[in-house]
Amino acid sequence: MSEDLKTGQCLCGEVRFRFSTSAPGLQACHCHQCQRWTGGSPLIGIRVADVAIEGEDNIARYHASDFGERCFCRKCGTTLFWKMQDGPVDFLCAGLLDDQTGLEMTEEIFADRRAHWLRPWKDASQSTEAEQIAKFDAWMAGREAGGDV
Amino acid sequence: MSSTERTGKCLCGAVSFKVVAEDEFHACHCSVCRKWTGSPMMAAVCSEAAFEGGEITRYRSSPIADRAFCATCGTHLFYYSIPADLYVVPVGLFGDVDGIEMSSEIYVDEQPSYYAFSGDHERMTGAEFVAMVTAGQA
Repeated sequence: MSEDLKTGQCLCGEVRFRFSTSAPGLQACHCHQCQRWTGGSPLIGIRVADVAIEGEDNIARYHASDFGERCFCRKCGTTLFWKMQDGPVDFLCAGLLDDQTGLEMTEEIFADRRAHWLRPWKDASQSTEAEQIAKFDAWMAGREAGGDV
Repeated sequence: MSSTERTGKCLCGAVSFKVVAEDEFHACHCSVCRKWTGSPMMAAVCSEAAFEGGEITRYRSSPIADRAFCATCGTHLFYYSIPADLYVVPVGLFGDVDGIEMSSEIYVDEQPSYYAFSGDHERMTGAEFVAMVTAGQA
């Protein structure tokens, strides 16, 4: 699996990222919180690792649930990422990426909550809200049991 | 163009609003909108807009526009055109989206390859959109 280092930044440039990705796949989340947060689009992001952040003081954090953290630039309001409250940054919004070539949508989640003005991505996997919540509950249960999740 | 009075609020509920919004909205693919929201910006032009409650941060993203967001949760509240004195509000904030449809896509020349909208509606490049807006103001 090859990894290439990528860079990204918010609109005003105060928050900057360097990170690696292992696949060009993008995920779109259609849940109501993401739709409201972005303003009508799904939250479109990419799985990342080894994230280095500059300008962290400018990151504001909002907890819309008791497990998720939604982060944005407090100066320009750019939507930066969603993460588990106690987890690492492993998902960045696609709009941040300086180079957007070669990206492909591979997964839609909360697909049954997709806004009526959008159509499915033809080649992306689809999962419903119930499926995603079941997956998440299993993941949480495994974590609470101390398992390797 | 028909319009409807609509209400809405941000994700945390600190900011609420009442607008009179056109029943058609556009998707903007420009690099600034995509960087700001993480995806194309889908928003409706509003002839009236009143926001209340919460702390609203305005960011001047160009000499002609402010982009505003809730300081608590980061929800994008509006794009404000300074020369036109016009609010453009993301449709995802509306409590009720019945009767509202996408009517155009703008800045299609800046659209990345990883998404595309179906539908038979108008698609304009950035230059075409600017020419249309400029003609409307002349």
